[in-house]
Amino acid sequence: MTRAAPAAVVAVEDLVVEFRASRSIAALLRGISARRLRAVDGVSFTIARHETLGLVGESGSGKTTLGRALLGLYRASEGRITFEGAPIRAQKTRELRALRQHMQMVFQDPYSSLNPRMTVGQTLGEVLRFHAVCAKSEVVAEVAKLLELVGLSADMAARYPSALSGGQRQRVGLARALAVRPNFLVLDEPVAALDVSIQAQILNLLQDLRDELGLTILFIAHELSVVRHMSTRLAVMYLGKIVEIGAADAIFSAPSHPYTQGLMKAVPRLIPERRHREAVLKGDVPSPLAVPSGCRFHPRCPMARDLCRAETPPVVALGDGHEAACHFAEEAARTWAATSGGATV
Amino acid sequence: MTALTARSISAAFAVRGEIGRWSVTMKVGVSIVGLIVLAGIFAPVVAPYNPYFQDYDQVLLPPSWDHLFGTDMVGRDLFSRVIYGIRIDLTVGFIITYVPMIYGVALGALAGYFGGTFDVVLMRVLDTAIAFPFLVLIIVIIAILGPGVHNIYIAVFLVAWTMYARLARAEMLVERNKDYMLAARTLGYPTSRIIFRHALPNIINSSIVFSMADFVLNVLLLSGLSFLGLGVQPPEPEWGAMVAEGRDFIFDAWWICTLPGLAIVLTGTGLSLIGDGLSQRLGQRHQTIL
Repeated sequence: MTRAAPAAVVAVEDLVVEFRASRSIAALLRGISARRLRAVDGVSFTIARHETLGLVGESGSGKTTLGRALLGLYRASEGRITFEGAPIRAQKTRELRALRQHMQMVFQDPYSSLNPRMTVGQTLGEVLRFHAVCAKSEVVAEVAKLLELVGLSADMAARYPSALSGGQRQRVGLARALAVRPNFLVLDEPVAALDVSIQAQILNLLQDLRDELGLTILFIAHELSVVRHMSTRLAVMYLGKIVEIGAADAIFSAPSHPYTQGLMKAVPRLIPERRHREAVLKGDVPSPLAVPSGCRFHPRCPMARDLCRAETPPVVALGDGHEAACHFAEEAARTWAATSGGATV
Repeated sequence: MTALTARSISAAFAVRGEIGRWSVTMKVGVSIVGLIVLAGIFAPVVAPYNPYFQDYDQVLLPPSWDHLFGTDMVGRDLFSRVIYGIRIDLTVGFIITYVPMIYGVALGALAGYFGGTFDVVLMRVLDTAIAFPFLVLIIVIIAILGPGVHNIYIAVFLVAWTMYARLARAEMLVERNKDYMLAARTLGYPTSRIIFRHALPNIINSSIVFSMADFVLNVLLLSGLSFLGLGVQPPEPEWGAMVAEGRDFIFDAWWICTLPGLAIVLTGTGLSLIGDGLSQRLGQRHQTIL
């Protein structure tokens, strides 16, 4: 990984995104204030230019919320987000509208991410016209160009989404995001809803486009194998916090947080000898309304000790930008190396 | 020139394709209502007599070739009056159906999209409007302002939007969480464009289907109120008012009540058939007529 151009495209500092949990009428009348749910709870990281940061975690870890907060779709309760040095503030509609031309998002579910009443051409044409990406007379030609860019034929423009397959829809979703010619993309589990054979096609397309257009990408996924394909760096999220972050190679060769290790054990293996026989992650992510004390991973952690129940772990620097939020990060890494013998995914 | 012809040809094909996808009920309904509307528009041509002209030599004549529907107690030609009645009944019915639909859907869509205090307040207002007995409301209004069509407008406009608001709000609650709505926000579109351009075509179908049933009920409402003397006043040729006029002669001249009544039934049937066909048509396609 080259560190020659460390200019961060996106910088997140101590970001907190809170939602108010709904109250019952009884609670409302008794004046009990709404409980706050911290979907993202103090997250800091940067994404360098032309870098792809993979963001993994189970459902409910807050990764989607984080991605949307980056685009100003959710308001940051605390902390700040900057894009190319300029702060992103969800409440400043006009500021945001200008930023929209530089940052876009691809959504998880291709079946709901396209307006069913608009043809592909209308969907893409609206973006081009609204942001005045090209002259009005060139919209049709530009739509054709966009479709070609994502590997679709130009005559798809006349079709409604209902006439397209999941993979084709996802390509249209990608074309819509690329229509404004952004340099930063948030991909929110772009292949999770697709067939495995289609997943590979879309991932390859994403890689090609990234290299061709010089995109900076936040790639959100719940599966490590998908992320590994794409990412230069990796961040692992658990219950609103980043528990491990670092170069993708470093994390895959020496995962230093028990949660990351658990995720890696959950990756299906083709070769029986390499399968992890011991239990992978047990149980579910706890409710963010009742965050466990100390290290929030301790109820599910195979290494948990008294210290973990009592104290929030510090962020341990493991060199070269690799960090893990675990009291026993180095020990975890050694154990991993001993048991797996370096046989990674 | 050639481009223009090509465009009109393709438009003609589109219309034929659209009609080809209609169900039989839809076709029958559209034919019935289409004929009635045409007769109303061309009433001066279709109607053989002046609907207000009283000919005391021709009182209470039964249907014949001269007077297709017979004549009433003051010698007016019933067929002409029924034809002119189309203008009143369909126009008023249309207005009291679609004006409330416009602001009902808009209010419901806004409430569903924004939620919060606006939603809560609107829903309580709506509950109040629904809970208030309609006939009492209209009688109160008429007691204050005197009888006439404009009072029907006021009363209906106060109440009729509620169903549309409910339908639109419920659909919006489903629709607003879909990714394409989020995508529209991500693309920086203004909220008005998101609600009315992106969401509205996706939430309007149930309101359109409901409006056809509502239209039928509103035609019945108008004629019912006019029958009671609360709506359109004589000598205007309104169907319900005509039924009321003929009530006293029902044993001697059955046609005065019956034939305007049949006009109401035929219109209602046609509109219901369209409603039925629309619910099938809009359910299967990913496009609305909007």
